[in-house]
Amino acid sequence: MNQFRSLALSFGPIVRALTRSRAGAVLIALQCAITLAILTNAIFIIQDRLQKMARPSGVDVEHLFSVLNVPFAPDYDARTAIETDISMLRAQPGVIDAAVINMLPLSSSGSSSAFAGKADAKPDEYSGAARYETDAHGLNTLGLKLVAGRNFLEEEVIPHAPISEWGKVSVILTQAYAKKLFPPDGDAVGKLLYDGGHRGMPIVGIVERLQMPWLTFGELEHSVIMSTYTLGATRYVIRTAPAERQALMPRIEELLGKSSNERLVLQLRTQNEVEARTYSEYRAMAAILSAVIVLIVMITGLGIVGLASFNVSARKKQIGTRRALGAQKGDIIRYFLVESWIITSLGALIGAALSFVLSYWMANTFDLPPLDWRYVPVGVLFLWVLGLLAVWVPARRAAQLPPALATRSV
Amino acid sequence: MLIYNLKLALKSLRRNPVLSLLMVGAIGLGIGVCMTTLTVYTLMSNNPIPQKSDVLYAVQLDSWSPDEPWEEPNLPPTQLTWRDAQSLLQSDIPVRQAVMFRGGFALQDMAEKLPPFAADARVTTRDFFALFEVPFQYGAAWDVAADHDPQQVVVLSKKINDKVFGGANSVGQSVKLDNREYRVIGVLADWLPTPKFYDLNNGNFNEPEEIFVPFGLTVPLELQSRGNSNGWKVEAITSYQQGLESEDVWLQYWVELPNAKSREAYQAFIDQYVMEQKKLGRFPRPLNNRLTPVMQWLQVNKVVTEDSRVLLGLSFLFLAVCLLNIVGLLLAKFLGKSAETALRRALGATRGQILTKNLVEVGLIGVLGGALGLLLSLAGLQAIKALYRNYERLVQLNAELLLVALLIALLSSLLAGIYPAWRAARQSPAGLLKTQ
Repeated sequence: MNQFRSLALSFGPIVRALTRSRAGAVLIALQCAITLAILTNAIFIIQDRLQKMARPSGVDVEHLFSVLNVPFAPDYDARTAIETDISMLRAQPGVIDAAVINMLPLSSSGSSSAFAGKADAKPDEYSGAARYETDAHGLNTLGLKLVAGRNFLEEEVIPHAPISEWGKVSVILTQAYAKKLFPPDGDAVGKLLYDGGHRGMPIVGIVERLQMPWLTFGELEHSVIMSTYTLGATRYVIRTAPAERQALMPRIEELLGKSSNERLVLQLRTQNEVEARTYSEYRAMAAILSAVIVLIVMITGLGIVGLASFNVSARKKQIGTRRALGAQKGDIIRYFLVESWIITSLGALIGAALSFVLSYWMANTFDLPPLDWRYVPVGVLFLWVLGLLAVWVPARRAAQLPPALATRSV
Repeated sequence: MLIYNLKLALKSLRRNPVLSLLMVGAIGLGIGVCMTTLTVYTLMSNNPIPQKSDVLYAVQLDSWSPDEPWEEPNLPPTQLTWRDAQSLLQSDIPVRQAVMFRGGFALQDMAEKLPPFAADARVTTRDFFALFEVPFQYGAAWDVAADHDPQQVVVLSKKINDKVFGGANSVGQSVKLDNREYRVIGVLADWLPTPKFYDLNNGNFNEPEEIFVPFGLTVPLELQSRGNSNGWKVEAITSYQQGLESEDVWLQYWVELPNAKSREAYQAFIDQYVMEQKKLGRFPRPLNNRLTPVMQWLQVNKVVTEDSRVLLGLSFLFLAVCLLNIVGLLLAKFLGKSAETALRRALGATRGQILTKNLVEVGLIGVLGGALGLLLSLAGLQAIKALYRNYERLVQLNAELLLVALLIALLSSLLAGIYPAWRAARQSPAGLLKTQ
């Protein structure tokens, strides 16, 4: 209690001293304010990016890899070649399953279509979805989790089905897309999916989750899987036993014949790599902002240290006088700590307002969500700690000054 | 006098090495961060073809769905349908014009010494090269007939010619594309338009394609676009021909219109064309055809990323923090030297001389900070290169940017130093000397 009283009493002289040499204090306060605004907004953007990157794509990322198979010889028998390749892939030791597929989640390229849940749907009842095309092994290879219905049967898979034959093809939807087309509970199994004009495709199953190839095209989990595959350029996706992937990749590239006179085998990539490429800008932004945060905290911290050091040496005589008049070392330390706390608090006050102004401006100018207010009090807390830590060393040095300084002339 | 002031400044900096280091470091960091983001930003918003950017136009016809625009607010598609591109080619209003799309081939030398490899291709009409002033190292473009008839000829990029022919003049020789023989009729010199403005569908900062083949091959070979193809209309497409006749947009179209008169004439031409098509039941949207000049085209396609703008804004705030930091430190420093200043004043130095002396010291800090900032921005750009894919070509410092860096450093340090230097010079000598 006594401690608290003396702390409260010391406020007056400190504030009076501060108002006498305003410039330095105002500068530090302003610096703290801008630092806080940058800090809160940067951390918020980083959090936003990290959260987006953490969303599961729905597939067994750690055990998947894929290759792009591009036939180019004019008389290439793709139908036979795909069958041969796939049965070779499935027979490899270490391979759990393999499938032919047109694209992968977050592969950044692929196909999409608009579908509806009824035949007579109006234009605004159609909704865009990523259009996966794969065989009966697709689900097991990708490691998708079936939550309703069943997988494709072998006889439902029609290689190279032209649009006119889409009616014979079966489809599996993601939960999110089923809910979109068949609200409210997404009860879609046994119903038909329409792409307009053609016969509906029977919906045989629903999977928990499968992301689109693209990050910025509609709803990320709106996907449709069709039981067909193209005979043109297509991909093979391979799921391996744990720890087998690394060794299998070059072997399989070799077996497929990296360069024959009939086709090219390109883009041999693990699924981790596929997803990381698509997220590279997110990761880069998070990394750059993290660096900016570290640097700005360093600059502001050192700035406070530098200014406090100068204050200490400029006030040597006054400190000596106070010590000579009976002030304890703790009193001197406290003086500098309280002074720094007042300045950073002033900065925090302006900075909190500035944080929201900056966020408001960014949310309006760019496609960014507005700042979550909870980041501001956390930032203020951090600023206080930074201010106290930064002033600690100079304050300690001030406390070590001998009282005799007061009697000495400079 | 300047030499004397510089000597004093150096001495003063050395007297407080930690403080001086702090100030130089702060300026350096501020400049380094700003220069890094500014470099990325300026190169992203670079004019790829400054000599012609206001006479080249991307043609946009609004053939999109009656229910919704291609993109809000009521923007027409960025590509054309096959049918419309064919019709536009009939006009002789543009001085030059080119239709194009991105394709791809498996390329191999005739002797089959190299294994076949994937080569990005641009399928386009003859004027492409003159339109964009593409430089040739050997040979020339194909003749006009190849725009319509299938001629198996190819123009190679420098990179491919180096790879397959070791950089020799390969005009007259042949290569295999998808196992067919094509005669080389031209080899390009270095050509790196940044951004790759003529087709922004697959990577804004990618290199141009590796080979160029005549547009007349499209139909006979049933070539498909490897770029973007978008449709809105439900159409049963079971053959290549039906695909060509569909409402899918997949072709880029550029024209050169040298003056306002030709631009108006061409706008009238495309509007009239669309009005005629409307009579046939096509083009359900209101008339909305655009001729978009290069720089505006880059904006429409959002070439400068939002992230880079956010970072640019934040980095200037960062510089502001660094400057405030320095103002505070300088103020403390100059006021801390009051006794010395008072002595100088008492011995006859004018306020102006004290001010000059202080500003020289500030300027020195600025120059040192600027130099440090440049080094840091080089490191920053390396980091950017490592973090992003496809930015290799973006992050190169040039002389202009070096100058800007030094200018910002000097200006900002002087800006930061004026107040402290002035405050210090204003003090009256008598009061300070007395307390001694």
